[in-house]
Amino acid sequence: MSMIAGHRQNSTHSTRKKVQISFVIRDEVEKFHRSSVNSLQYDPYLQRLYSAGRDSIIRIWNCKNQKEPYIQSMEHHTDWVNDIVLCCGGKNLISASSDTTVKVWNAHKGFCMSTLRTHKDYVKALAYARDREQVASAGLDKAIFLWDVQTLTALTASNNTVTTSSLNGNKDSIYSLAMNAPGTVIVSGSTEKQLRVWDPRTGNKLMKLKGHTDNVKALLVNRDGTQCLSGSSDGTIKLWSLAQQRCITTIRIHEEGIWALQANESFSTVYSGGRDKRIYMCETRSPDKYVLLCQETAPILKMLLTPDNSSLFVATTNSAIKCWPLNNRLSHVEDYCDNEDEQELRPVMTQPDWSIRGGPSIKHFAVLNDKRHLLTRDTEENVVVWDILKASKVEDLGKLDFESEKEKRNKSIYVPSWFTVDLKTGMLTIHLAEKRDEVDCLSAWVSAKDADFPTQDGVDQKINYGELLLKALFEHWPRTYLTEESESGDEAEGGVSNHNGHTPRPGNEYFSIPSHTPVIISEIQGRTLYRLLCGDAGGDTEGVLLNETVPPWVLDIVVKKNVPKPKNKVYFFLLPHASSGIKREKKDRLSANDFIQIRKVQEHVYEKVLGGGSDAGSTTNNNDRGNDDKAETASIAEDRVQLLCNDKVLDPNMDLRTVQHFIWGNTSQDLVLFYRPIK
Amino acid sequence: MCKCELLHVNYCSRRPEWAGIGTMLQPESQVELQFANIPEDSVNMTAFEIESDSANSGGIKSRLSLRHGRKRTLNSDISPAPEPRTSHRFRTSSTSDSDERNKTPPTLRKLSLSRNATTSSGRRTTGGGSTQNNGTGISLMENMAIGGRVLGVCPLANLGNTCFLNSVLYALRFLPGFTHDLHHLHMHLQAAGNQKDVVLDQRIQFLSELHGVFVSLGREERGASDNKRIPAFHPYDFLEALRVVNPMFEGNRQQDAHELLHCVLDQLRHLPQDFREMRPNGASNSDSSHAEQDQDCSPEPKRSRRRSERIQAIEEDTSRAVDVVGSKFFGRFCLETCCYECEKVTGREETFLEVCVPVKTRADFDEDEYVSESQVFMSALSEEECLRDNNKYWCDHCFHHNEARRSVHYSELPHHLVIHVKRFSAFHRNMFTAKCSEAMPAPLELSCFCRTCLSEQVYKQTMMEMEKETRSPKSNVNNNNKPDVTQHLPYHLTAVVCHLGVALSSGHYLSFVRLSALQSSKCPEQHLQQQQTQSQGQSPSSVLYGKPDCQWMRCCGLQMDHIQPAPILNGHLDGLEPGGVEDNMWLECDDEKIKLITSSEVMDMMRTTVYTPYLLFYSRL
Repeated sequence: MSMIAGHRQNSTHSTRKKVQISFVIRDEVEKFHRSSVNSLQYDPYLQRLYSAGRDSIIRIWNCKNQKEPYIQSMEHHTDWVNDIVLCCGGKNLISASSDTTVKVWNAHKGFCMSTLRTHKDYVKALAYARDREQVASAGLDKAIFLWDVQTLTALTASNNTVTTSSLNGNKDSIYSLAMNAPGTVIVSGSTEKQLRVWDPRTGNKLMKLKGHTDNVKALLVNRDGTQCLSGSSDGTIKLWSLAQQRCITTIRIHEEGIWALQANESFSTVYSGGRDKRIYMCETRSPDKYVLLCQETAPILKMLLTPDNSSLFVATTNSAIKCWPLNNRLSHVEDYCDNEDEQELRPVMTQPDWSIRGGPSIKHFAVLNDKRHLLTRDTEENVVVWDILKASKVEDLGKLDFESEKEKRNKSIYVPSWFTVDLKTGMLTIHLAEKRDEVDCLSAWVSAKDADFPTQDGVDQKINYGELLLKALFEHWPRTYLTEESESGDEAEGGVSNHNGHTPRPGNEYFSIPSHTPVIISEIQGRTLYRLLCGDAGGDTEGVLLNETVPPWVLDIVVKKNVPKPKNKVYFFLLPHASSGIKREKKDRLSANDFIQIRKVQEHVYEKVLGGGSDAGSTTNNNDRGNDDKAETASIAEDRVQLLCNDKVLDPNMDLRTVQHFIWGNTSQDLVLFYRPIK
Repeated sequence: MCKCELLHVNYCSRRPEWAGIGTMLQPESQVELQFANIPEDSVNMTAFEIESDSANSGGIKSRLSLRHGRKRTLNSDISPAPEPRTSHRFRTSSTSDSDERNKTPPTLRKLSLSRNATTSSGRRTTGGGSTQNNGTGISLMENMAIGGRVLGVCPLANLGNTCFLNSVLYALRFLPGFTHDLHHLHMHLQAAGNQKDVVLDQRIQFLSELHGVFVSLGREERGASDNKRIPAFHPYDFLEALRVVNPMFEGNRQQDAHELLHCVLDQLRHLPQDFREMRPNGASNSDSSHAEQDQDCSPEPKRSRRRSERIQAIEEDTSRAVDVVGSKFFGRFCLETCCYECEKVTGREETFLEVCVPVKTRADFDEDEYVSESQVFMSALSEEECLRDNNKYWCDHCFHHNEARRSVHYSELPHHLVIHVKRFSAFHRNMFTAKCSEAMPAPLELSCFCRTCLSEQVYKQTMMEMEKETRSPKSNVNNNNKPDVTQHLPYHLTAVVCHLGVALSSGHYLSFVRLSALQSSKCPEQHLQQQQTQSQGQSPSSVLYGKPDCQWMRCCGLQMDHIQPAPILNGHLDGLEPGGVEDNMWLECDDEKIKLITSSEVMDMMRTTVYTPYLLFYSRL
């Protein structure tokens, strides 16, 4: 029954799954929730509200200052935070996240104390037994773990194992969990459509309660553990008697799934909300007595009654949190039900007492053709331009037509995809990975001039977007800029390949990214291995963890400074144009890196095919030529040779992949280029 | 040698690492150009690799040809070489030969029958004959079965591993109304004459051979004398036509009955569509030109047959939808995905010809709950799948990988419901198929499980629950606006194709067919029309005047009177209720052997792991 769980696992991250580097483009302080709010907790002594968001951030709000309630953010999760529990009289907070971890926080100071990695899938629900200071966590891995909060808060870097007991028997993913304050009963709701009840003290299965026809997403147990309320996706609320092991009452008010439930101490009044955006108050003894309290603007995810039952905090799938007053409303149930006209169900309240404003979340994006700039539109219809390479916002465009703006900003240039965009948090998360689904982080080579970077000595450098960005992401990591002498022996090998006269310098030579940028190292579609802020990489513990988690393909770039190898080739035929009058038996099939410019092909034609410029000996003498000479040939070649594709004269600055995609238009067939000399 | 001079420009100390690979591959023609403006770190990039296909460079040639070769195989992947098609054409000629051999008798038969055509129904006359027999009071066993075999049904001979074929043919023949609809489709196609398109012609031929089987069986049965076994019929021509349409059935191996059924249904489904597409361009002239041709070569028996049929067909209502057969097998289902987070449902509707169900047993349910056989079967029909673990659903509403439920809903169920039990699962590694031979008995009657019927059921259940729970049931839910949905007719099991044995390639097939209500021997449309006219108060003669008689019964119809005189059964099977007798009698058709059994025997056999039902045919009666 019990097992040992290391709260910070060693570097035994699975070698099967590939590891990717992700980062979030955001403001340094994100004061408002960017996406849905999944859970709420209230501290009545400090009058603080804690809210857990799908933007991966837990925020602390001061309810005494309703104008500027923001106090602090608690950031460490890398995916949706699904549930939070405030324990130890408000001293500690436990959070459950889709990043598969449970975290223990110091609630007053707002920092993460430890991370529990026992779950193998999203952790969806927490339950809390106040009298015993015990917390249970459950999720999509079907497991329920019981945690002793005192032990959790005592964890340190050296004392990092904790004993947990697990409750078995669940056949399906768990979406809801409830425990009574004395910790005598724990109930789980799952896609199994039935409730399972255990005694958390012994781990014994007590019963299964059948009756719902869909997933159960909301659960409450009364204090003495005799009654249980469940809200299901089938749209019904059921009141169960645990003593009689049966359903006492079914409440059918909602038209869609119930996602949130609250009840008073005696379970005589229940507040319910869900997908249909409505909050009803209902008396469990006579379920036909109900009242529509208010109509929210988005599906309701969580409700929280204040301890004095005077107000109800409501969190929805949009980012705002509203506080609805409940004073003396109970009498209204009676009043309302006398009015038999059910068709015109009008909410009792139209305005909340106060609300905590939410920020917009990004709902739509388009990667521009240059594969560097991104256009997004958020829930407030604002359009923003982002520079992925510099991990920052370029411009707020305001409310304008997204599609036409995209058309306007798209240049006719082709660059291979090198990153993927993720909107799960409502903010931009960019993933960089080794080749996967035709996206390879290191495939985008562009000329520095095209990327608006200064060129040295007028020579057009080729830069690799992925390489530059990876270097920028890890530029504060000492291992990337310290010389090999200062490093340990096994790193010296990496230094050999680096032996080209340069002393390594931090980052790349062109730009840095904001140091508040969160960098996440994770298995692709799997667990998060490590999250840190870009600017924090200089710390000692950070360095140790980076050593453990940074995948070899990234080390190769940022530590060993190996230059990525160009992989994408363009195959093409070079034929004389009909108007040139040149006859050539031979049909050359050539291949070149996709970023090669037409200028180079012109040069090739001029030198090799036409044998122009100098005599035939020029090719053999090529070894002795200097760069000046070559540049000279290039400019001559441009004047002497014209290249055409599909009867269009090609710009010397265009690269082969752009020609292939925009002029040739058929990537499955080899490109055909025609040349003709200009007299 | 290639004109490009051998040239290696090499600035880089590390060049051999990877640039060398290129040189190793084509050591004599590699040309590398280096560009000075690439940063020094990356100097070793090969900018150009020139491949020349000048014939004198051996190394290059080989590489090029390799590349060309690859392309060629790629092309062939896309458009497979049409070898099977050519073999079809050869076979077509041979089939047409055999056509003439075998199709002469039906023509004669039809001509003789056409004399009776003025009477309202040929069935009645023959039926009258058998009634006389009934009157003599011969016992069931004496009349219908000798040595356990049934008289009056023409068996199908096994042509060598063709039990897969026979079992499906038996099932289709006894599917109520199937031969009738096929008859009309056949008439319609024949009326249209030859098609220019060879493939289409082959497929029409396939259907007419299928029809031909039923014609021959009906003829044998009508021609048989009492108390004598009818010799087994050899469906060679149909098998040949089948192999033309689908070369998969070539050779004498055991085949998958499901594949055959699928092939037949697919033809029934697509042929009328293709046919109509072909029609518009050649509709007017094809009829006239073919009429002339017919006159030219009238001595040929085949032609005359066609012509007589065509005349017959023209009499028929040609405007009738030709895809009536196919449409009776069509259903529509919706595959829905519901994200467990946002509970948004996305789905798309598709048509189906058959429902594929997994084998489910009681073991799949919780040990502590009782489930009936039909509940087990229903759960197989409406199985839900959860997208979870590493196979989560990308919800474009949540922008997140979430768990989701994938479920099938039947928005429209067909008249004939074909259920394919997924008994064979392929092992990827060794290409073997494993059989799941656990018993999953199919209920004799299956209530409609389309979406409207099910929601109606759920609604009723909720109402019942509420009546139990609350004192005033109606005040809680605003349910008064719910429309009263009439339930669809239930399905009756009419035929079962069973697979015996452990492997798809080595087993044996046999069918159980239900001797369903005698209505199957009546032309359904005429029956309907008669009812209509009677209700309208018109005399039946005026109807017969306006619409020609349906010739189906005398052509390929299944005359139940031969095999099942109801009064006799009443008299001799005491245990059975008078009204339900005919529904309780089944035939076990195992190639040449046909036995009479009861429905409870069928159920018992389906509960064993020997007679594992593979294809189930349900009809709305």
